[in-house]
Amino acid sequence: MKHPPGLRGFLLAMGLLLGLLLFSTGVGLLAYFLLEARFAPPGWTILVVALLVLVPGAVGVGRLFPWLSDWYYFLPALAFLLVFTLYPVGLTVYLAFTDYSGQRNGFPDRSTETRVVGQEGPRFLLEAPVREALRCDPCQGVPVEVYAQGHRMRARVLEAKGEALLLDRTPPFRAEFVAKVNAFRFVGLKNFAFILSQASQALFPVFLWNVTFATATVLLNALVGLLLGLILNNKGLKLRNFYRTALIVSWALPGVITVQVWVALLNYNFGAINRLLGVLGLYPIPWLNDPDWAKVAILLVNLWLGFPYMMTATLGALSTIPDELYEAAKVDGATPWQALLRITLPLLEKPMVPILLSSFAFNFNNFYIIYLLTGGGPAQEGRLATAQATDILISWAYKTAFSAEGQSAYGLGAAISLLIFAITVAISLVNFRVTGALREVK
Amino acid sequence: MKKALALLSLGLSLALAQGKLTVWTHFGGPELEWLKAQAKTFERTSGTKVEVVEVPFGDIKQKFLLGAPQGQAADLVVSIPHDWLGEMAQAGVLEPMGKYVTQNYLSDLQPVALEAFTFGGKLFGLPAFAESVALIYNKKYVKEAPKTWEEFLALAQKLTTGSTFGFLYNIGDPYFNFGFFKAFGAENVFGKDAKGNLDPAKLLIGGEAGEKALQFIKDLRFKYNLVPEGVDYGVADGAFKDGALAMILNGPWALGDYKKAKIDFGIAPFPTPPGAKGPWGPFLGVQGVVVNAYSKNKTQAVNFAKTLVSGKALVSFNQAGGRIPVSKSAVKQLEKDPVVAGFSKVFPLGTPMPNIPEMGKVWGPWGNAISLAIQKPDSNVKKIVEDMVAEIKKAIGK
Repeated sequence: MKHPPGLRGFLLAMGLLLGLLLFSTGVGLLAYFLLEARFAPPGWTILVVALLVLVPGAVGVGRLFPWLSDWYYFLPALAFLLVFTLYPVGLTVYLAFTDYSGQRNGFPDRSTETRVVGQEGPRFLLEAPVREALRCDPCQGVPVEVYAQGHRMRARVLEAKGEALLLDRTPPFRAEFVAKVNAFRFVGLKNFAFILSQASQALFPVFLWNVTFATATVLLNALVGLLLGLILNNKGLKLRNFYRTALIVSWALPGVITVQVWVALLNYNFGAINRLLGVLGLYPIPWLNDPDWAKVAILLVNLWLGFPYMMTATLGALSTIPDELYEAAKVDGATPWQALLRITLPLLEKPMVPILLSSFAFNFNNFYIIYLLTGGGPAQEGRLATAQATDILISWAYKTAFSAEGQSAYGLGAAISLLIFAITVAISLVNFRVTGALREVK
Repeated sequence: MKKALALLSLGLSLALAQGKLTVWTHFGGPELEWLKAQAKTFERTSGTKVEVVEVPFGDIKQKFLLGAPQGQAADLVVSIPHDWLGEMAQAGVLEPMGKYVTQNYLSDLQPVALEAFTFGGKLFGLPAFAESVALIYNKKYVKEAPKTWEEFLALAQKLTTGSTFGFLYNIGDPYFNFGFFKAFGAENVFGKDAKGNLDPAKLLIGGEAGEKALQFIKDLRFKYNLVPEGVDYGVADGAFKDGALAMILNGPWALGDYKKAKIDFGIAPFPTPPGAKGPWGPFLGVQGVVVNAYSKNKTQAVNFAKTLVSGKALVSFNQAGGRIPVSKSAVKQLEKDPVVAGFSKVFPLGTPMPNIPEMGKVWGPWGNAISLAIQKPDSNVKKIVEDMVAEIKKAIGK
């Protein structure tokens, strides 16, 4: 009953479990497609068939490898991992090399729907000339779908002449309509070429601001958080708990709402902040209307949102420093300033660096502050509509995929996501190497 | 285990077999009540259950495009604006309606509504109501709508004081600005090909028309000092509701709130801008009911859609919210309604918004160009228009 030892055993078990899952899913899919040509089965047939294969399959494999039965506890976790992590990741990578979009989605284009008036085997007679009705030229090889109430079948055009259409398959039902399928294609590196062709108008300036934003916001938040943490840690301070609670409020409120309040506060003519500046006799500042001031506004609002986190982290780290160290320093005649520089700050470094790094990685892809506060704007001359003054890589990807290129350019969006993934990994590796934050893990 | 599965599948198939329609809608308030009442009536007469689900306007298209082929979308949507039509039809989620409607029904529709819901020569939905922006004025400040630009400007500038504004609107949004592009010579966003279909290769909002229109929009802010920085839809709409704004460019969707705020308002076309080639003319949007091509219950879905767009239903819909129906018979019954009367003077000036999918690639760069032009007094309008045209052409040509 013992399983093979070490890595070999682990890999063998995983291989068997994955094989079981994939095989039963495969059988489920196959059954679905076989049934589909006859009638329209509901989608969950796949699941039912897969389970019908999986359960006896698991029992059978369990007989062959008795030690495997313990590993069956892994099956649900493995299935979820496959479905919710590996499948989307794989799909993103795959789509990045296709022109998949809302229109090129692999479904029939209903604006080309044409009535079938005669059918004999794979030969069809349509009510209008094929070339115009299906909007294809040349029509050879174009994927189409023939359908009738409750039936549908995919096929390819072999020949189109006038109203006559020859397909490569014969449907097992009486077809009523035929429509062209908007198939998406494998386009190789075309998406990446398109992104790089916009590099000077989008990729480079956006990347530069993205790095600047992530660095500046982390440093700024950490500095303010550290300062407040040090002040609040002073046991002589009266009403310490009150201050601590008051300062955390901005962190406790949902950012989705507070950021929008900030948008109103920062409005040029109607916002409270510019009115206040006016009362003080200062000129109004175009917080959200000027490309440079908008960057300042983002850093300030993100500071307001982010410093409590750094403050709390500082307070937590400070509580791990034993009081004896300060007492000993006092006995040795050190001033409070010296104690801060020689004891507190060096001891804070170790716990704070990983927090700073993870905060950098978070802010590098901090979509919501950009999207809610400025929407990437204001517009800047010489830049694309998708990559404006305060757009970061992720908001640029979002706008490209969902608002500019026909509103659902998934292929292009996936390609940008892959690029962002590569950039984030590279930056994180450099960060970890430079700071040695992962060194103890060894 | 197998028994449980069998029970499960039995339960699921029963749920499917019960004739039931799901309707997605972005209506709210009294209009939602109207739809629910219509659904109840339909349930009584046909025996088919109708479930009304509220979906935010901005989510409908995306959800429907992704969900419909998987059987995860509603049987009907009430309603979509016609500029989504091309994209949704090409994606295959809309049922062509040509085979369900009668000549009688079609002849009762205004031609512009029919054109708006036709894509590639096919009717893809049943148009219900139309909308466009117009000059809405507060009668407390403006006794009679200004007829010429000079009248308008004098009035707007006189009324811009410390506590009131003469004229504000959502200046950064191309939808609100199209009227000016049309006045300066852009008949529509795209030109038409020999067959009368919109041709994405012919972009009309660039060139001289685009430059002049953009210059005018810029002048509204920096020369005539009318629409200051920081004005967006919320600010303009809020000021009008508060009674602090004399004139606004806005559409029928806002009128319910204005009535609620007890503002006595009038509706008129915007006067012809100075130096323009023709009169101002807004984008005309038509909203209609569409049926899911993958629906399991198409016949009932179409029947329900037909009851919703019947003249009688549209009259009661207008009374619920104030939208302007596209059915000729309904408009006739509502002749005396000031809103319907006001907008029926504006609609003939308008142009239906393009319904081809390429329009999705125009909004972004177009809005970008407008924001750039109104950002600084010294912005280079000529270069901005050239950049905009280049960006749109590149996106469409890809």
